[in-house]
Amino acid sequence: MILCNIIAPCAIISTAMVDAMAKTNDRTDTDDLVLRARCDADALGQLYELYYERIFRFCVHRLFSKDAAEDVTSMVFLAVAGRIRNFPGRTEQDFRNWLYAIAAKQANAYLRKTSRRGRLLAKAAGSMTAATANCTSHSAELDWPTLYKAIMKLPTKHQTIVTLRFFENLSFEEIAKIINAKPKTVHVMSHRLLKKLKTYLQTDVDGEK
Amino acid sequence: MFKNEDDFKNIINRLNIDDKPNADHRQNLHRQVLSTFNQIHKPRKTTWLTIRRIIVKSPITKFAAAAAIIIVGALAITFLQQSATPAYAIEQTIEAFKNVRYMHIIRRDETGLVEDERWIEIGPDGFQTRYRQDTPLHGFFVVDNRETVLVHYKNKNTVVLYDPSDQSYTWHYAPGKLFEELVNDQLTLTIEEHIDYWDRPAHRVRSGGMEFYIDPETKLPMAGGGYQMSYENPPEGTFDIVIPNDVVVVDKRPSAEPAQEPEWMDEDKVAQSNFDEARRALAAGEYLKAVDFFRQVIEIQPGRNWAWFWLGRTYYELGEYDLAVSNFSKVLDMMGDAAFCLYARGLAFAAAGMQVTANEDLEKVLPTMILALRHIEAVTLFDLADDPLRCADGFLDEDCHEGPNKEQNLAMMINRLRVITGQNFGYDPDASAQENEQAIAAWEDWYEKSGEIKFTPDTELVPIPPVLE
Repeated sequence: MILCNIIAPCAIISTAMVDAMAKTNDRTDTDDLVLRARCDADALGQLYELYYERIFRFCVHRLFSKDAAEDVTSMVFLAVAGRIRNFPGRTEQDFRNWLYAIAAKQANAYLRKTSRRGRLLAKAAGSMTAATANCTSHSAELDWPTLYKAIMKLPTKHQTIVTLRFFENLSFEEIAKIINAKPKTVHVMSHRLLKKLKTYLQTDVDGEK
Repeated sequence: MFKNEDDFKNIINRLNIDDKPNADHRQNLHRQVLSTFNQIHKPRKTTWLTIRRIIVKSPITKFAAAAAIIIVGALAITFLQQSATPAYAIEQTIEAFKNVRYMHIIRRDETGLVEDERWIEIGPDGFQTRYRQDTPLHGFFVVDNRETVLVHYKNKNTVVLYDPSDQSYTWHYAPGKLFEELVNDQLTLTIEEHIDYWDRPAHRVRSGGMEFYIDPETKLPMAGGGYQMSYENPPEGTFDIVIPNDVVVVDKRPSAEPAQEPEWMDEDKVAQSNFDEARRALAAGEYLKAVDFFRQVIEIQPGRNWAWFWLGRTYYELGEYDLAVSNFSKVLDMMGDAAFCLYARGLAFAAAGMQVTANEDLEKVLPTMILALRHIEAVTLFDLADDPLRCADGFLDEDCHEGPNKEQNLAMMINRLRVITGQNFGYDPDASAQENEQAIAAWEDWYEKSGEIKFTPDTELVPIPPVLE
């Protein structure tokens, strides 16, 4: 029988913490909140208040509908409430990345259901008609339903990148952590996606003309 | 149009997207989040120990303990039926599996944290040889190197060593022959080629509750039953029996000296006794007593899926449908999309008036139920779910009774179908074989053409034929 150390789950968290500690001498109050939230409902409540709006906004940008965004935001925070005890991160940045990663997955899972996607697109199309009808002067300026429809033509992972980068203004490094990719890949992808979107939108506009 | 990234961002800022949250939602969700947190993190009388010996010994819960993917596969595999679906992927997959020596499967929760990770070594005959499981969710760790089985109950800080013949985590079906069996058993499969699986190209193989996503390049499954699968060689030492420092070691192998077991192991016996008591109470209609006993079992053994399930059943009988749903959901989290549990949860949703959500569950389980009409012997878990006093390994040894025979089982499945569809195709246990064959064919035809769920609790039920001695 070989004797050696196997690390228990809490010790695994500790190891991650030790790594993080080396580079976090300047801990913020919110960093401490993240640590406390593992076993303190009040701390979790404060984190919720800090992030509710950001996550809700992200969900609106991914899902177009505020009703759908409410559903998915609920799923995100309920998942956090259930799992935070095992969350290995130590800083606010870790928590934010985790939160966005959950939100991205939940939004994609929501969209994966074709019928839901169809309804959202129909809603976007409806809003587009209404927006056009309300226009007093023809403008070349892009509207939100048109842009949403164009984004939805991309694969889901690419949609996530577009939302995180251009709507939420996250850095390439942050997005890379959220979607589990390399920052350089995200950088290149963002550039390509922007070009792709431009093409889609031009086609749409030309088509309408 | 925009020229560059900054330009695009400026345009987005001018879009005036209505993304202002609703204050009521924010407030309500705040309350729910804290309530969920408090419910999950309230102090427990005992810490988690999860999968116990007696549970693992059970052929039913063995699924949950050792072969979560195969749960779905095993259930569906045997009752699928021949049809003219393309066989390309399956045969290629069978061939590809011949070269597989290791399976690595991982399940993550919705937040990306690993809930369960397993390494399975597959021998030339397709059967499992060595095995390793790490389930941080339950603080549970196992290594089986075929000479010794090490079980580490992390939250008890205890390692128990077993003889492999005494404690087995062997998969119910030979993992390497899973797809071969599909074909040998002449089973029906739906194969959808070139679909998108989380932005990866894949072929989907499914039938009933089973669903695998096949990598078009390797022809091997890359996901199924909520698990991701890969086939790389494991890191060195994966199957080594390694005893951590500072743990209590209980050696139960035949060669070991008899040793005193830690106190918590006695809790198992208490839990077992409470479990048996609870099942008797449920069967006798003493629901409040059953609730009490099942809750005591769960307190000690939170991983005991059947305790959660029957607690849900008990709540259902008490008309506490939301509690029933929550218990069934817990079981589905533990066991994947187990058909009998989806059915139970669907009924609970329907009884609670949540018909749309109910339909989602019932639509998922309907194909399995239809297929079961031809292969009823494969769906015994439906029956066990209905009958807590049925004999099963690890359950009531003295006063249990045998499960229903094939005819009884079939009649019960027809009744379940009638309840969730409102259809009646004249199946009658007293009718001739030819007439009943027509009834089953009518069910299949209806499913092909409509398959619409209609919760009809007051439907006419088929009389269950008596057992003929």
